[in-house]
Amino acid sequence: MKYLKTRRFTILILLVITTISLSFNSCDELIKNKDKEKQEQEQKNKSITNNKNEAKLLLMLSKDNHEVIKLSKTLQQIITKDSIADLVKTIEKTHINIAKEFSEVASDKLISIPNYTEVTMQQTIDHDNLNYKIQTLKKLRAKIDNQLYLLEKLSKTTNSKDFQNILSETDSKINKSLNKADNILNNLNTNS
Amino acid sequence: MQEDYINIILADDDEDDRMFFTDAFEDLKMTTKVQTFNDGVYLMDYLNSTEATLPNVLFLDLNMPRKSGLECLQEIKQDPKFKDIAIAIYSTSASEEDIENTFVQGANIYIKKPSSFKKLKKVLSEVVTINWQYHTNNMNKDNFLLRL
Amino acid sequence: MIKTLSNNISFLRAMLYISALVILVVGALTYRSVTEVTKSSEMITHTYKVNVELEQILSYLKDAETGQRGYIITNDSVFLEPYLSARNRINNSFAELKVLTKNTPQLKSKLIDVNTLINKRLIAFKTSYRSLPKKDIEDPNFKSNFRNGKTLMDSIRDQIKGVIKLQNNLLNKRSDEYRSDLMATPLLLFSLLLCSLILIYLAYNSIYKNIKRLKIANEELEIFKESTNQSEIVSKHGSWTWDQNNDVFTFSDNLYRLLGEQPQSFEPTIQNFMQYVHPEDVEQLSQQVENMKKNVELPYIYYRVVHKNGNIKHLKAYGKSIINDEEETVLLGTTADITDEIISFRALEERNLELERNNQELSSFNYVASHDLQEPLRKIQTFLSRLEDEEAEKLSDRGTRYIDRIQNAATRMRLLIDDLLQFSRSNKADKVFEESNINLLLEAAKQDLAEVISAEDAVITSDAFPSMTVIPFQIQQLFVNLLGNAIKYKSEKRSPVINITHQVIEADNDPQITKPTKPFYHKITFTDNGIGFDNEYADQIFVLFSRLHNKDEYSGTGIGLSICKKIIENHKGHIIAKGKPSIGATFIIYLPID
Repeated sequence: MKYLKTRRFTILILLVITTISLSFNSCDELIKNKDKEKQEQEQKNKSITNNKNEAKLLLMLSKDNHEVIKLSKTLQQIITKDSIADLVKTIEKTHINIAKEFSEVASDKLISIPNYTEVTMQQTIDHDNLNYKIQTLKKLRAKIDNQLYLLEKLSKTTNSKDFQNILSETDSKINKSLNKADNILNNLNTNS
Repeated sequence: MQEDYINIILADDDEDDRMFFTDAFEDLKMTTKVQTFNDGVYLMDYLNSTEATLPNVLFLDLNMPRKSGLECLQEIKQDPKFKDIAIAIYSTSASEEDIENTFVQGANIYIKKPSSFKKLKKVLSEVVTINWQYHTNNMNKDNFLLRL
Repeated sequence: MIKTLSNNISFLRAMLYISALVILVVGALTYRSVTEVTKSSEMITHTYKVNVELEQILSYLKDAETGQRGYIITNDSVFLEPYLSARNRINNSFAELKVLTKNTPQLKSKLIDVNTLINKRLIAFKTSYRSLPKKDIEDPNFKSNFRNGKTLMDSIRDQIKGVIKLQNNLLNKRSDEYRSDLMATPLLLFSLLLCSLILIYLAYNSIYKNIKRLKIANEELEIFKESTNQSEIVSKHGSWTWDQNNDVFTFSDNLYRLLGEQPQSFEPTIQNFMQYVHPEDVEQLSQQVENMKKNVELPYIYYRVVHKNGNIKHLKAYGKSIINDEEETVLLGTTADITDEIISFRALEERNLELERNNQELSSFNYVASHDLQEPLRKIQTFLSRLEDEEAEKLSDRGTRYIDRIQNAATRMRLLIDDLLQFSRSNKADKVFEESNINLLLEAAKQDLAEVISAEDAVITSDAFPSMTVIPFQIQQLFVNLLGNAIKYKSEKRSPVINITHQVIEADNDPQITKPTKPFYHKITFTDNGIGFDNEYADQIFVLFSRLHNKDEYSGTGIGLSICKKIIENHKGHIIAKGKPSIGATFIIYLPID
């Protein structure tokens, strides 16, 4: 009888314990799940805004890039001095390269950017105006500078490795272009 | 010991009965010598004494003071020197119990005291003339009680 | 009963476990199906989101197209707005799609295709716009560009449709899988619930039956307990149990009453009980209580108790130890109040002593009658006979006559004494029943009466008797008395004829036999042709000393028939007399057959 009683008692206690632990567990799971969902949702939203920003910045970058290409082409037409023309040409080449790289990354990241081949020459006003030259160069420099600023911003925004690689590469290239542009500007100023 | 006499002893505490007994033998005119004793103690004292003449027939009343007939019977039957004495129980009652007891103890005949003198004489003459040898050999419970 | 109940208990326990298991399984299944439903609904939402984004991309493109066309027609730069913002918007949509399709690689490759196409389309917008000469829509170059744009648009539409289709296919496939699962789940759940319902019903049924059975058993026990209580009161006994391991006693209500107390008025312990035990018996009882611990079965214990009001009661106790289910030794005991028995036993003993004394007196009376009374009588007779013989001539005639009278009186007195003796002897206790030949006993009786028979010329006829178990000398006495009686009371006119018949009868068939002890009886009938008697005296003639006739006519003592009745009573039989005056009498004897 005693034995039976104790056994019944233990069974009851075990049952109660399992019930309590089960309900605790399930509640915990439920709370965790909710948290997780929330987090996931946040993560999602964050990555969406991230993606959006990336796309915007990349678009702006590539637009600036096009602008740089366009301006460098214009400069080539108006600058007569060969040494300076060569410098401008290298700037153009570099930026065309950058444009190529951009379009590769963009297609990979499902971002649509304008193709550099779309860059078309405007009808240039062909006068040997030094002021105009300097004006154009300054515009070029400002664009390149803006590009650097955008790059920095993009590198802060993105967390994709591909992007980071390209960005660091592009950064050095654009820095060089900026230097070149400064050189040209100095040259022009001293000549005049 | 005189062989011509038949020695007879009666042990009875009743005086009248002793008188009837001796008167009857006198009337019978037989060659008998009758002795009487008042109770069992006197009887046994006499029998155990040296000058005693052992009787041929001993009549024992059962109901006696001091020593009853049954006790005397037992003592006599235990002593081998009395083995030749024929013992007749001579009693008023004829109860089954007494007859049985005395028969078992080895008495030879049981006589119920008759109620007339004529009958008494007849009984006594019968008893005295019994061939004891023959009677003892053929004795059984039925002829133990004398019937006339 | 206990065994079936324990079986049932294990059955119920199994039921409980199975039901719990079923409920757990049901819970698990429900949980799973609910999560699956949630998952599938999530998937559907996801799919719709993707679809919506794709449709949006298409609509942006369409907007751009429409804007461009509007610009071409009107040359109003307002129309260009959707075209200019198209790239931005499309990029936003793609940004969302990229996150949504993170887990589906095949979708991603499709989206890359769509993206390149869109890029081409956007370029195509520009080229077509650029190739448009001033307001000349008819320009072949522009036309081909424009057419190219349309085909690109179509392929984009197809691509997007393809993606949506793929998406829907995936969704259908998955929801099909879930549906098959979900289809099975309710059936399973239902059957499981049905199972547990049946189990619960079975368990309920079993419990119900058990309770019913227990209830009946309880009622019976209640009745039994009540009847035990009553029987304890009626038979003046009480019961007790002693659980030796725990030294716990229980006393029944009536045990308290035996001690002269109200039921359950004090705690049932051996110490409390001992307070009531007679001081002289305490030591002996304690000794026996010690013995009870060692022995399984015990002899009866006798002791006395003293009530508070001073009454002393005799008790008798008996105990037996029983080992119960839990291996504990329990002593079951009964204690009975035997005070009445002891009192009646003592009274009986006293009566027995008295009876013995009476018997002794009676036998001494017998002796006096047989010996001391007979002796003087005998002497009287002897002296009378001597007077007659020896002194007859000296007596006058009158003297002789007186002596004759005295002789007669003495003879009669002797007869009386003899008969009385006979009667008291027929009373005696030592009766030995023997298988006897009744014919021989009858012969012996005739022999005893031979003198009278020949004197009176009596004729006696009889049947042949079977052997019977009787006291032989008493039956012989009976025959003597009956035959003697018949001859004594013979008719003056004829010589006596006595007929004795025998038959075996069934007790139930004869109204004369009252309170039969045996089913069969011997019936012996004595019929004579004597003077007979009036039937109204039929019972009276068996009474001691009663006579129907003057003693001058017939010399009876009035004892003979009483002896006959006594003898028949000793044999547990019956005797009946019937008579007709001056014709004859009939005596019927019934003797039981063993």
